[in-house]
Amino acid sequence: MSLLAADGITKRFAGITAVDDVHIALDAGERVGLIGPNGAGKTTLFNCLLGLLRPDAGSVSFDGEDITRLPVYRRARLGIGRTFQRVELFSGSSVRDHLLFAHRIRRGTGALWKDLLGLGLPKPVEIERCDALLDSLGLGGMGDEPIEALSLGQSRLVEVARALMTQPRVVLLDEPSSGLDRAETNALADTLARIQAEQGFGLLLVEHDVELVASFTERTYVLDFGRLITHGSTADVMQDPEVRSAYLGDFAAGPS
Amino acid sequence: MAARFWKLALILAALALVASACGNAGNDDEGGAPATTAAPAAPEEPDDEPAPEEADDEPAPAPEEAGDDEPAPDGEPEAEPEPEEPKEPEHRHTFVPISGVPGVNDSEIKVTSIVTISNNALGTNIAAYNDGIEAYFNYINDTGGIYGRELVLANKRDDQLFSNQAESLAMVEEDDSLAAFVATLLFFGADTLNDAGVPVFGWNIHNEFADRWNIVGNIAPSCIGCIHQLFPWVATQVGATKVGIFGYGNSENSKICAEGTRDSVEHYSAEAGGMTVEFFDTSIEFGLAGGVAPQVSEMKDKGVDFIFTCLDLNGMRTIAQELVKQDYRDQVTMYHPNTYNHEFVAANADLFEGDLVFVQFVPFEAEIDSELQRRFFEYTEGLKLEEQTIVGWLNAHLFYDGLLAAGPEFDRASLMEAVRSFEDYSHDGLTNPIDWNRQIPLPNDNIDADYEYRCVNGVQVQDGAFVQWTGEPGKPWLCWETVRTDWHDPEALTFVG
Amino acid sequence: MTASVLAAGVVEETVRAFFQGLPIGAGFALVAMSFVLTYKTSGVFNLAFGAQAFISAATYFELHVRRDWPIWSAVLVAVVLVAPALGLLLERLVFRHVHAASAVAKLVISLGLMVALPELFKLIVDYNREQPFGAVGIIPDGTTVYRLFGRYPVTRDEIAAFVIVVAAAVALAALFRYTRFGLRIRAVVQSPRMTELNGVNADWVSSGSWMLSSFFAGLAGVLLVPTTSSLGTVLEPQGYFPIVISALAAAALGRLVNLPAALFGGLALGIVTTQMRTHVPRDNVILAELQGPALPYVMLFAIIVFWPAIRRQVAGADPLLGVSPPPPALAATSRSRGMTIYTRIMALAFFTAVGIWTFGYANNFWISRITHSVIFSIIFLSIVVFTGLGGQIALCQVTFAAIGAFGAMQFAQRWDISVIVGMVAGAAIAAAVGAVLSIPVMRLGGIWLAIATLAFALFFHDVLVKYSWVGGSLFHGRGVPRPEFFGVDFSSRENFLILCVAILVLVGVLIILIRESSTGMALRALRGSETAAESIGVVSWRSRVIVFSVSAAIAAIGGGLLAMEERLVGYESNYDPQTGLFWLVIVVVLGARTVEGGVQAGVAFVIFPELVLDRWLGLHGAWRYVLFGFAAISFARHPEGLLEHGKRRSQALMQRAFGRRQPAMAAAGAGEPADSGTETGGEP
Repeated sequence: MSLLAADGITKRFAGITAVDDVHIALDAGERVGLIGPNGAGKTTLFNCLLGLLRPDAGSVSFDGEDITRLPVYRRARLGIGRTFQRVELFSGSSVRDHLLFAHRIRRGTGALWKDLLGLGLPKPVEIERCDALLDSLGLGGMGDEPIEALSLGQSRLVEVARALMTQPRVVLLDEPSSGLDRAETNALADTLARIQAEQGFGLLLVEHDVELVASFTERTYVLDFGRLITHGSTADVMQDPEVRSAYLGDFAAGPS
Repeated sequence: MAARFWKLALILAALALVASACGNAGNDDEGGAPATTAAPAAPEEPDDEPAPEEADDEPAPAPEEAGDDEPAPDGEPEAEPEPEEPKEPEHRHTFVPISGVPGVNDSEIKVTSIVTISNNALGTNIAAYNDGIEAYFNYINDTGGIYGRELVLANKRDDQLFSNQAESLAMVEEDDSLAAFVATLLFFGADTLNDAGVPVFGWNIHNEFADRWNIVGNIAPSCIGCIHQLFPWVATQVGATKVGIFGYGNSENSKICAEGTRDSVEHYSAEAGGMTVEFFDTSIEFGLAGGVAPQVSEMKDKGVDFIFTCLDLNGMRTIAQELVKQDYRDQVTMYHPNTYNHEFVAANADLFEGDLVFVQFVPFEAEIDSELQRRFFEYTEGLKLEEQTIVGWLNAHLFYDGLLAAGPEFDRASLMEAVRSFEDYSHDGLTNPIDWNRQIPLPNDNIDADYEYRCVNGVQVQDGAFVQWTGEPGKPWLCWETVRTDWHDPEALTFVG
Repeated sequence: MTASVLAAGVVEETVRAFFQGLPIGAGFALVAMSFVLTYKTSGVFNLAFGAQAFISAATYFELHVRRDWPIWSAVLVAVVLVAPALGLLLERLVFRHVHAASAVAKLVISLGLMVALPELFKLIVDYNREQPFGAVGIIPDGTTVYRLFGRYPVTRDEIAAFVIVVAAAVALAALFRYTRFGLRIRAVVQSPRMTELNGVNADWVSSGSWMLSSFFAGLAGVLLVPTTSSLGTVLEPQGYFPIVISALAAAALGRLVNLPAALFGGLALGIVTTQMRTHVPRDNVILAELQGPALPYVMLFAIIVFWPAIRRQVAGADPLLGVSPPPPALAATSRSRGMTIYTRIMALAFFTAVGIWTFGYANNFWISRITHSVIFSIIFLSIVVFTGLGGQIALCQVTFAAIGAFGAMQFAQRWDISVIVGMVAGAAIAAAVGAVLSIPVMRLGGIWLAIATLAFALFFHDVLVKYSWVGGSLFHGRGVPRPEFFGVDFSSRENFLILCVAILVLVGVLIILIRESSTGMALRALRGSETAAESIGVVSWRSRVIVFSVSAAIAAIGGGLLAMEERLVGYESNYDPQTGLFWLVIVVVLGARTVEGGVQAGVAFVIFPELVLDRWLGLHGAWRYVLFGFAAISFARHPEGLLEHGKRRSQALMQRAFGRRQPAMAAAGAGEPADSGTETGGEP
């Protein structure tokens, strides 16, 4: 049984079927891609997995448990982390704060009375743990920087770090390459691969950048017009003529 | 919209209440209860009062003038002008050096006024209160002042509606005035002044004028929501038999007032020619953004021919407009508790023709044989007269009389002692006589603290102006003896003397 | 037979109520459309509508009634000239510079203008020199009555208003749909930058749309005078307020963007009002409230909470809607150690000096003023929690403060329980009320939350206060004693001041603890990005409930202390909902993000008018509304507050003077050197 699985997800908007009976699955330690041209339903499916949208049919399960009706934060607490296509950081907070928030919330130690007694202040050990993760992501020494000061690549790393601080069992990455150049994208991929190897979470990569998917993932799902047109090992998928015609022509024409 | 509409609205209702339910008469019919509801008033009835509610269908309940708990009507002020205070006491011009009394030096006696001048969205000109005080002081100073000193309104404070307590405290701390003159829409500084021993003369539209030794008003504390012959009697005078009553749903004051009116009409229903309350609405909202069209239609359907309200100017105008619109204005008379405003009535002449407006002093339209009234007109010539002008004048007069009675070696305490010793004080006939010694608490549960006579003074609107309506020439007041709760016609009186 | 007669009577009454409701609804619709027009053309939720309408109506009154100008010339000046000129002025001087600001920031600015504009007008024109009675409409013989179908009376004024409302709705709809100007307005509101790229002069379009909406507000202002009872009596700006509340409900039906919905919503609400008053009995307390004082607020609240369009809008596209403008970079460490020590020494010196003066030399008046400023600082800290920490705007903090005050009063009066216990109980009640209130408004953000809380505040004010179990009885007064506990008597002014300072310090420390701990982290995360916060497991409803409760409890503690200080509940003086709007403005202007900012606002609120305006400058107290009201404009550019902004600037200057390096990131972000938002809790 897969760690995260979507069975027969269907979602319609005003009569248009954005996602039609899609099944996907993800296991711990896996790196899986989800690709498709614009409007293929990637984001809709993604949001169904996260709980931002509720599917009209089908179910989502996590570790054998049906989570179709759980709200976003409950899924997050079960161990589903994510990043955003358009960077979503906590404006007004420092880099370290992002990690600290995630860490705290994951541990669920937010009782108001503790805070009022001064027991809720950040402890040195927590700060050390945050800094350690920042170090390993190559953001060492930037803990105190206000988030607005970071480059886009660094911001994406902070998003990753924030997701990782919740000790996720799967991480869903939403177009991590968008806005990054090739070198930055590769660096990000390398870092992700390294951390994943250490922590063993499953990775689902929703991506426009087929090159990244090809080099980074083991398996790939391809969506078009809301339907799953194929899936399998990434190498096989990339050779699939249907995929090439539906999608990769686009790729040949030029990257982002 | 910086101003404070809702606050004002609350105040408006307070005004409506005081003016209608109490002010007009300051009376108390049943010692009982502010009767928040009609029927169950009984249990709250103090036992010194024979339950009056059984009177409802009885033609003439035994006149309860078992006046044993009422000080016998001693000084009958009727007709006979019998000057009690000598016009020019010997010692008026006696100068005695005084030290240590705030606001008093060898040439001046200074007082402070606290008036709601800014942020008063009533449209009324309360600042006219200062005019009244100054006019009176001019009059006294022109005739030689008092104790060799001039009376001076030295400091005019504006409480801007919401800082009454702060202004009161500032006045106390400044410690440079003998007394405070207060005409404000809120009176949260009452205890600040009273506790500091400052003599306060003011415009009594607040409960704070009760139970405080150092605070006296243009009228005495008056009954709120009590049963009163006035209401049904006034309606009978215009031949009305079916009444409608309005009160604001936003305000406890206004509701109690409306309920008191309703209870009065129902209490005397049989005697007043079978008068009935056909329409009763205490749910209308301040501002009346939703109008009153359905209510007026309902009254019209039911044949209401007299409307009592516990409302402000805006409420009166809105109802009158709707009456006109529904072609029904000619068939109803309205009772105004709070409309003695010449400019307002002139601006709305068509709306209020024939309506009755009640006040707590002899209106400008009624001439009586009163030196104080003549001087008032003399010294306010050229000023625009408002209700507050005469309130200031009356307050200043009481202050002066108190000083005179306190003697040339006065201080704050002796001034108040003197004022509180006046047992039959009518401001030279301009108000219903007050026993300042007795009338300290609210008289709702305590007939001993009530006026001896329940008196009203009313004018009628004719062509956008006021015409004296109550009484007869020279005797503008219409009075019921307080201890008599049976139904009877009032007497026309004057209190000059 | 009788039944059919009865039925005929009901039908007749219903038809009659329908025609009685139409003119009232036309008034609501006129104002509602004005809201929609301004929102559509500028993205501003313009609470200053009443102020704009008032200025035109008052100008017309001044010219036509007081100076006897003929109607046409007075209308020309008041509506055709003054109103658009005011719109142009507002656009050029104010709104042009805040185009990119959030809806909430613009709401705060419009609150400021609402406070400032009428007061400024009155000060300049000397409008109150005599009673503003006798205002008339712009239709000659407007009170002439006609009869529809021979029986339903309607005045010429009402017909005119109705016709103009419908015509305006059609014309405006056509303008937006078919004309290039309308198209451009819409484009400019969406994205001025983009529009400019397409060769449209966004400046000009923006000015034009402000002139148009201001013209409409002015027209509504004069048209409403004869048909709105509160205006026809005394022409004062607050006369627009009752109608504005119902109009807000109508505008909400169209999500502030749909003109036809505002038109039909307004008419429908007018008809609902008269139908209720015709058919619903008044002998039941709740039914009477529902058709009377409670009606507009219940309608407004219910529409905001339950109207599906608004729920969709909130849940939908605009993720920034609920979020106050992003705060400038916050970096505690960027302030140098020396600077921090210096600031603290200065603060210590200041408070020591004030303390010595207060206890050694000040008279009772000044002790009382200082106590008031300490207490208002506490109350304003509730705004710091709600707005500074929670990132939302609530307009009902006055209500919570009043609940605290009444709590202290009721416990002391009814059960003779220590007033301190009463205050704490009042705070607990306020916290509970806040928690309950937070549930229906849970999904709302930004302006809708602000309006819903305003409706709640007005409901409390107009409906609940009069009940003796809330506001006390008319006959018992509202006296409140000062406390005594642990053998210490706090009845003297000095001792009571010490108690208040102690409570202020305690509350300030608790707020800092909350901010720096888990709860505060969740709040900061939510304020930064709700979506991202939920993705790491932040429970937004829980945070909402906590913010409502904590801030309500703080306001209630302040309210309880204020009642003890004044020895009575000065409800009408202190807790008016419109006073609450000014509270928000002054806190936001001076700094809603820090404990320090709240304290400064408390001091400014109490001391500034007394000391600076009155004693030093000899100005009228109304200038405070003008000054702070206009200062709200700065909110969009300096959401951290003017004082905080000033400190940052001076720190930057000092750092330059001392040759210190600018913090790495000063160049980014807002271009302001970063400063501590976290570290400045240093009050005594």
